[in-house]
Amino acid sequence: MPKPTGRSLPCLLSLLIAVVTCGSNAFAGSILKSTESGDPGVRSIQVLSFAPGGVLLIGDGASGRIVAVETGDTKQVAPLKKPIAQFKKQLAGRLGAPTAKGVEIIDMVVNPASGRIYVAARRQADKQYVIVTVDGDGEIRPFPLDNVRHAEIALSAGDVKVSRVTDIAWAEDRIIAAGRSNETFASKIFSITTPIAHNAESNSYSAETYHVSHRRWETKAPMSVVIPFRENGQTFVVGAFSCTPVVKYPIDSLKPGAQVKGSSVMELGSGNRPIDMFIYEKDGKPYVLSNTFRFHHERRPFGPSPYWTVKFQQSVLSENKAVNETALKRLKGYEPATDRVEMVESWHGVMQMDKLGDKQAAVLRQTDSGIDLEVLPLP
Amino acid sequence: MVSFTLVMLVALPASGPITVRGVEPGQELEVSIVLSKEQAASLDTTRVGKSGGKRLLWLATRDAQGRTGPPIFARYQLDKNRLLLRPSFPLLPETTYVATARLPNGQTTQTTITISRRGPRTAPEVTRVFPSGDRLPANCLKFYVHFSAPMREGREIFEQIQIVSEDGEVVPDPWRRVELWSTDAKRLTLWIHPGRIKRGVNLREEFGPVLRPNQKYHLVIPKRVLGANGMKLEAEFSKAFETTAEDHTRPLPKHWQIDAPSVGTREPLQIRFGKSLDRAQLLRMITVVASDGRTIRGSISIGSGESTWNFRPSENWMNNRHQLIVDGRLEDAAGNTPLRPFDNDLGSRTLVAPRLSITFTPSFKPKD
Repeated sequence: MPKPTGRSLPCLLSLLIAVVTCGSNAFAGSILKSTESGDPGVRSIQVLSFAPGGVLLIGDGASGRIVAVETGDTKQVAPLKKPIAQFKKQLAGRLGAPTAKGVEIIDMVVNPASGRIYVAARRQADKQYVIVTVDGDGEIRPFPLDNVRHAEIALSAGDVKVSRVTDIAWAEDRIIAAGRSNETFASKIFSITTPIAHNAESNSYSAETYHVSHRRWETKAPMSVVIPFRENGQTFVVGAFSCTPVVKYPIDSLKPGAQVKGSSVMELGSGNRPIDMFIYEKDGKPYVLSNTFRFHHERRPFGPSPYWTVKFQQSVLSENKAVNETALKRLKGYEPATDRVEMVESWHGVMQMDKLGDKQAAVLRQTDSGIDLEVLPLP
Repeated sequence: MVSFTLVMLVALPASGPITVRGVEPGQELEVSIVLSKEQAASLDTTRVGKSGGKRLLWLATRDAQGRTGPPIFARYQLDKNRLLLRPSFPLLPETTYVATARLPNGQTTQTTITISRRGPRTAPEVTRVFPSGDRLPANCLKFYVHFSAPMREGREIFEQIQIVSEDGEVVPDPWRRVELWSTDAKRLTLWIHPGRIKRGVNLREEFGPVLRPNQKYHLVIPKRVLGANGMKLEAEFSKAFETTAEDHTRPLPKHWQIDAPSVGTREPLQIRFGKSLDRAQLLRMITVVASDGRTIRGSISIGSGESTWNFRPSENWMNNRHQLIVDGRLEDAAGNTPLRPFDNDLGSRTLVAPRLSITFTPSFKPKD
């Protein structure tokens, strides 16, 4: 899941200047050039993200598009005061399902313009997709889409039909997204220029992502997570593949229909599926935080939960020489191989996370009794 | 405390302070109570729920153990002294709900509501699995599993569906855990984890490939896989197959055999690929074009093992040259395409761009 809060310092400064000079609503207006009011008819929700000014981005793979919704939610709210135990069960009950299994939580994001938490879920019995918000007092409210100002962006990738949007991220002046088909082994990365005009298909273009291993085998490689990264005046997409290299692609020079090859800058270890990633600063140093699902947990656990979190220095992303086969490895065997990357043990069980201000993150965490919603200090 | 249950199409209660309408499938449920003048006056008509309506009337689930859930999302309206509640989302069939009202004397009263199901519930079945053949390359990339009804989505499917070796050992974690359902949730695309297929990738190096050559396996879809209606499969489904060597060759059209149809007939045109190609893609990635550039309409059928493609035109074949146009991204069972093998060996010769059109001319056949 993309985290629009994952910006570099220059990016944050430029954003701050924009907010100061234009005001947050004016900023939203600059992202959505033209909108339509009404029900966007979302058929599926696979991922949520936010652009500045409270613009909610919904990945609707069933319709092969992103829907950008003006939430109008731009006033700061108090952060969640206390954890909501068994949040999933609570949500299921409020949606009319008697057990936690009655809903599937799809994604959770924080609106950076307000600090409010947004959760997308699907009611399992009738496949109804819903978005709810959670306030500081723990109140869960539906966020209806039946009458919203919105713009739709078709994810057009030639003849490839995108059936799943795997991630969306705000990248300073554009939206980047990763999508894939449920038939061909094709993974597309989209760059969508802003401001967005409703139904403006022409302002998005796609490229196919490749990866090379052992300097010999080149394959298409589907990306699970994307975040933007600025370096030396260039914008990169940092992505994570399934098993689990962290990869960097330049996107400024991306051409429609091109093939792009990523450079692995780090290996987190095999047998994991990355879920979320964002950049943050702690004690004046920039870090990247990523949580992953270890699908080899039963055979070779990394901790008490298959969900584990890793923190690494942002400087790892700037590596240009030690890449691919010589990229930094978190582990040697099963022992830590570097002090630039560390497992965050206090975050075990975190299934979903997003940055909440500069010092905290909202997380959904798997516990023995269910799935809780809580706010944690950034590690 | 008053309590009664509406089951199936039971008539609405005429007694009791809580009135329920719209319990039949497809109807919008409405629950209401008549408030005292004081209660009604305390509510803000523009914010009925927030101004106190929620505390006077609410609806919640009741689970099998009799535990009541939190109030479900609902919209409120005040019509004179009548407080109306309409659920924000349709109530689920065969689920028990409890409406609770707070009476002017401070006591509460409850009504139990059960929504009936439209039509009988039937257990879903696995109808087909592709590739359909029983000999698959050891680097087979994916399976399509077709069901008779929409299925329940959720990541537990990756724990449920298994590959079992001949000696009964379950192959650990074979799937890439990204749910890829068709929009009607009747077809699941299951990718064998590419990290265990691609050569030189750490997942394969650490855990080995999912399938090994010349072995026998079963793809097992157990009965506990749930349909969208909450019912288990009618029966477990098992597909037996045997693996051959890994296939790293491109499915090049120049190697395909074409059986040209006869002029003046609607005989099917047949292509034999010599190996299994992706069935879903075969239905849309090959087109037949007439000599004037017009796409010929017709019906496509895929032969056994997805190794043949048959096209019956909706008009008679003409006596001139036709072209078959092939999409370069058409995959075989191992994900190789005419454009490139699934994992391209950069150390080998540079890939030559394939010819993606084949010319054929319907033949004259002597009459019997």
